[in-house]
Amino acid sequence: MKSFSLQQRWANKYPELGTEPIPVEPNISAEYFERERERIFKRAWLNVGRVEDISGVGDYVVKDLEILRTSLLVLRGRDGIVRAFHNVCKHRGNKLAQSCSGGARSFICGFHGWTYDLAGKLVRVPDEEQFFNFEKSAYGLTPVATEVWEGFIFINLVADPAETLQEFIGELFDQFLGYPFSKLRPIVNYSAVVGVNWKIFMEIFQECYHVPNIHRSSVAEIGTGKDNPFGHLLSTRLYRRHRSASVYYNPAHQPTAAESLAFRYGPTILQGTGTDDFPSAPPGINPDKSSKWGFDINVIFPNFILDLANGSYWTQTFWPISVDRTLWEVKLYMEPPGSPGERIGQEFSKVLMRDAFREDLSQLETIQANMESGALTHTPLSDQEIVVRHAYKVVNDIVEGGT
Amino acid sequence: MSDTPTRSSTILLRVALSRVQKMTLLPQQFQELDSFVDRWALATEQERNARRRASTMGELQRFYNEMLPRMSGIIEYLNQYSLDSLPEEAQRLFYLALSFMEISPAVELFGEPDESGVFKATRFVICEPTTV
Repeated sequence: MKSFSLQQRWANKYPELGTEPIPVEPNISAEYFERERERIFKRAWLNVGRVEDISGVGDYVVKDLEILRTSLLVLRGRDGIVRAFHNVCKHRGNKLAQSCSGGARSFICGFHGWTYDLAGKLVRVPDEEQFFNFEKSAYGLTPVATEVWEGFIFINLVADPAETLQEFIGELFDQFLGYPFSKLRPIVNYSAVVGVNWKIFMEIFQECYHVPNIHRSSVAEIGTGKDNPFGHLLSTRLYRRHRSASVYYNPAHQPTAAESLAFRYGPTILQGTGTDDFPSAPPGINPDKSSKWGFDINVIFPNFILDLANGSYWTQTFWPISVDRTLWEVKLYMEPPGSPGERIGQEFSKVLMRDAFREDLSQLETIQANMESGALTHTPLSDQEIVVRHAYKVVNDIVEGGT
Repeated sequence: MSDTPTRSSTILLRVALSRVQKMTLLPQQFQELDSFVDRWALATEQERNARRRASTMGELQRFYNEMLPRMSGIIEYLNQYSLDSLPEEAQRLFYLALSFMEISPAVELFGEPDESGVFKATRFVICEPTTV
């Protein structure tokens, strides 16, 4: 195991990122935000859920994504293949599927009754003879590029994306092979619309510098320790656009009575960590094999965070609404409980995570307002916030470079 | 003053009814928790969290103190059933146990029903899958 160090280490490992303060402007400029929309979100592969969300033929979810200025219909076809379409009737542009999820054999537009099958083909037009030179085959739903990685469904708004999903996921593509994604199920969804720029929102879930303060009443005790009073990350891995970090776990952690009880019936989000307990961990998880490992943060560019632990994982998706407003969606996945006791134990993790998340969110709107106040033009970052520096640079290179 | 026959039989009926209700509220060996059923046998996380936030610290502490020493026994009892076939009284007990987990951070970590200064609970949307 590599020795745990309190020295600065990441700036030396990634000298190309520099050490200068980073500008505030990208978080408050509406013009910058429009370029993010065009150059990032309309070109990137974006996660819209998991294959288990639509496990049966005809199961669908609707994603209304303001950043893409469209509504998407993601469904499983008769051939079992997951496809996405613009959720827009090709007759007069009405929104086709109106509920946020469900199961269907076909989709009938509520306006004039045009009907589409699960492959997006237009199959019925009432009073069709009244149209001129009309071919139904020319009016199928507009498809959206869709691919699946480790059970996660990604879409890309570009008709013929420059990169396949595999190329886009890049360095992370096979790092989680063998992680039991398909065995775990969401036990809860949380969401909130917060008055903050999407990048500031994501940053708090990538650095642990905030843990001793914002989480002082809840999880600071497990995220800091005698040998690591500021909760330094065990490691950071910065890639071309994505990044990963391993989060420290305090081996002297004292579980509360409720936590001990929960742990008797299954893993909690706080216990069941370290290498000894997770011998089957894929190579991309806790790569240093630290015994003081809590969980891994994996940030899939641009707006998806995949946090992997032993026995549980949680996803966070950040959907920008405007430069200063973001929809945040969280799902916590654990094994389907096999007994009432396991289910009761899971409630502990769920509730503690929720309460800690509300701490994370507590300052965001104030920060956004203050960034807009003119009081600061740049913000200095510590070596422990190198993930924030990397996040800024990845976005800024695309927005300013226009590639 | 004496009760009319009708009145006394009504009272008798009420007593009998309350006994029947009492007997079926929770499994027999957990009946000392009956008084918590009204407030804490709640089916969803939203309801349990809302009740926690609407309670005083004294109420939470009292519920916690009564539940904690019994939790192992409660889980052992519930585990003789599968999740989807809990009898009605066991189901209420199960909800009480979930409520115990709901309030545990308030009692064990925060010392207040809802942490002050954090993101508003009413803006934090909780959505549980339909299968518990």
